[in-house]
Amino acid sequence: MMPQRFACELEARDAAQTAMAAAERQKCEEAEAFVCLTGTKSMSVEHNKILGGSVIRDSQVFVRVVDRGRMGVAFTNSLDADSLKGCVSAAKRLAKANDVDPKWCGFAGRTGPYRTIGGIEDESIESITMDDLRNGARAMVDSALAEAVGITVTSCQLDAVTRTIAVYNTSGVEACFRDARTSANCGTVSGHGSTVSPDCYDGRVSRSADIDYSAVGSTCASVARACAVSAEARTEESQVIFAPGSIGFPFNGLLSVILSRACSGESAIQKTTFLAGLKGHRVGPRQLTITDDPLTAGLVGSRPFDDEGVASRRTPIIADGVFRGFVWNSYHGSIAKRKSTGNAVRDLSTGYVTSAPHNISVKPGRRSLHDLVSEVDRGYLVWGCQGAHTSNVETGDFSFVASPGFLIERGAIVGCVKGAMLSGNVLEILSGIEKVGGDVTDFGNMVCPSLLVGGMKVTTA
Amino acid sequence: MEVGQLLDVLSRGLDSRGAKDASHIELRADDTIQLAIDVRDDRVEVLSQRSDLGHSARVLCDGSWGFAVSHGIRDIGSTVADAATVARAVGDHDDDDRVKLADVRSQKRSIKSGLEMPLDEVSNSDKLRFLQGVCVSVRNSDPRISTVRASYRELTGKRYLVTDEGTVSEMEVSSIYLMCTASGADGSRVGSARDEVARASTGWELFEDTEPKERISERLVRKLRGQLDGVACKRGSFHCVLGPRVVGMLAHEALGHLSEADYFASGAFAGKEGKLIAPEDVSMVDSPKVKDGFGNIDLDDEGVAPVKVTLIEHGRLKDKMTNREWAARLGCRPTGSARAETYRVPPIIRMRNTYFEKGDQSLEELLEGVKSGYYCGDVRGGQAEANSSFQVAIQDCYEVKHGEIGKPVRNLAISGIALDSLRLIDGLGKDFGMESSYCGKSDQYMATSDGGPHMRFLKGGIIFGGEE
Repeated sequence: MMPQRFACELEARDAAQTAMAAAERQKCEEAEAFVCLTGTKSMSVEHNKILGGSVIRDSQVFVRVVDRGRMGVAFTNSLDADSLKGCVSAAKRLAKANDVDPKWCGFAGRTGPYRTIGGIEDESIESITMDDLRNGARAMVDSALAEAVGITVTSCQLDAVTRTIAVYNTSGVEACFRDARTSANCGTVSGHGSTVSPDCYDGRVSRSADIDYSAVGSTCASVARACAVSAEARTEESQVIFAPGSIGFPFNGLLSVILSRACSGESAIQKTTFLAGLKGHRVGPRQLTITDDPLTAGLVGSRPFDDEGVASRRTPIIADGVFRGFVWNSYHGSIAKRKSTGNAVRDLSTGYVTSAPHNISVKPGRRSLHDLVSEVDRGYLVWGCQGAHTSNVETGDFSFVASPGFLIERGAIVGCVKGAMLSGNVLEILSGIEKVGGDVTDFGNMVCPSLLVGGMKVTTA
Repeated sequence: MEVGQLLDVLSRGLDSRGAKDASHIELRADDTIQLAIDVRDDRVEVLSQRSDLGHSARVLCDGSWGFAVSHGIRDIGSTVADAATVARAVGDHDDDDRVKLADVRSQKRSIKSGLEMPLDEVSNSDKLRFLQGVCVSVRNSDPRISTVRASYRELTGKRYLVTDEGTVSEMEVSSIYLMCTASGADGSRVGSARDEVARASTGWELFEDTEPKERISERLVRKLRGQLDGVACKRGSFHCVLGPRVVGMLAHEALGHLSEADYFASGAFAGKEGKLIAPEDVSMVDSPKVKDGFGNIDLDDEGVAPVKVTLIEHGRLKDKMTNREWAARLGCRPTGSARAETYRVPPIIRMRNTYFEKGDQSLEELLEGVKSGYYCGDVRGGQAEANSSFQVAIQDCYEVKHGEIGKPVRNLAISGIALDSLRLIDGLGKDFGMESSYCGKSDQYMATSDGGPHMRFLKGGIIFGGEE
């Protein structure tokens, strides 16, 4: 029997080739087929109880066709020849209704052999069973509940995901790769009713089947436990330590949300980024280096090529505190007269291909989070940024609630503060960085340590 | 495939040999098309069509849920068997932990949208021209505006549900979501604003009648000008009046989520049933059907006929939103609040249309009471926490001096602890308005509306995270 990985690659390539053949038969001038096959096994927990599991087999095919400079995009989730043919016809029909794009420069061409990136396809992930996930979920819940009396595990989700991506186009790209990841997310609260803590989250994502589920549960619960002791915040300007999750989580990490849009070449062209015009300017201290790094072995954001089939590469965003430039796909790059940096990222709802970083990596320092806390005379530790997703990604302005947030006095955490707001601009955070931690965490789209930032505006009632 | 056939195929899946020990089987299928058009200024960025045909099975075996998804609508028996296998693997429960479901009456529904101008009868070219018209209208309104984007999504097609208890439903879908954003600069000051229009069960007549491009443009330009011309917001807590869209966001984020049964038990409302948590003139509901509601539903995704839920009545915490599982656990009725974004995900407890009931004061009367404070008119998203902490980003705000609306205010978010804030409501308007958008929970984005009347809060109720 053929190993699963080869069967999936064959299926993805076959679907891409079938779509391309249909495009040729329908006389499309230019065409591209993007195929993404995923297999997900999950286990979920609600209120300390293992609720259920799921298996999801998903296939997604996007076809882009261009006729006389007019583009149409269509999607199907069926891989049979008729559906793929229908998808090409739909894309062609839409192209006819579209306007000519005078800036269209053709699909990305072949860029030579792709680099092999180690550690992105651990075959043991494929063989994770529902029993493994159930045992992991139980370990996570048990370790959280053992951390303290009064902890509730509000929700947990454990996933094992395999994915195969194929990109084919009429410019000669015929690319395919397969990867895998596991993830575990845990949410806890302490207390009850009026005394309940904020939601405390912790999570891990990995390219291997090596997540320590007990550690995720106990870390999360230890944060909730710390919330049981309260402290008073005050309106002031203060030092603030951002824990890795508060800046790196995909949805609610402050830098993850803002930087992923701000360093996009598309935003640069539209002048909808506060980084426009800052290339070559100092935006942070010398110890601040941020790179888009899709090549390092074993990172969750690593991949051999982007969503147009252009080879991945490392792209400096901030080096030694100086803003070095944006990341580009082939289309936006051509408008700006720059080469693609291999940063095409496809919106899997619409098929639109934007320019975006794959894996924002902040170069770590040497201090542990504990060291950073011990160096603060008065300040705050932000574990989560409530409302970071509402930040203005064009201006870099933010205003969020530290939730949970902790008051630090004389190098020690005093207690959890209720409703402390932090507001300002991301450029103030970058320029205010005093120390970079060494506690690097991989969030899948961002790899970052804790940051100690001075001069942050804190507001309370 | 014909509709009748699809329902037949789904119904046959209920007899899967692989799930003979299942105590409950629920099958859902979607046959939908999403049209996406994004126009930036006069250029089309996205013109795409997404056809989804797939099914899922949710099965209860040994007191645990198993869920399986597959594309297309073939081999449904295998999907059911997969879901049952997953459920059995979860097994090994104490009796108290076994999932039980509240009994419901089976439903046979065939819901037609019956629209004046069905979306598939309007050409894509006409839709493009409309969106380009919006962008041009906004762009031409103020020379400081540098770029305008109109993102249009329509979802049409059908969604199906069959259960082994005899529920069979087939629902036509026709929803519209349009988000327009504009950015500009005045010297070194950069600003941006957005406007959302969203309706469930609507045709293109929405843009012919109630939301023509001029109205959308006027709203968006006003909000952007506020960002470009506005003064900085002070930091701290102030006497303030919140408009219906902001009040709606509070209803949804700060209070609605905590009244979802799955959040309730571990949230700040636990143990407060029947207790006074707000002034006695404050009432709040979640309704499955309101005029122009984006969260309108005829049947939930477990096949339960949805009912209106009174969350706060005369200041006292009252009912919760439930699905069948939580209704059984809590010994109350299922409220028809189980909703799934697509067939790809299982239904979870969600709000529909959540709003505060009206009071009796005019906006002028509410403003009169504010010597120095703020008026917040529109939002740009928000988030809530288990301890009732809320954060709402504001994109349309004004100073209030001696009861009069003053200068626009730029860039801010408001926050608070809802249980503290509610007690500081000191005025309710007799007007009413709603906002519509998508709400994220457990990685599912669901169409919802929320609203209420104007509402005034005493100092201490709302924190303003401003620049100064």
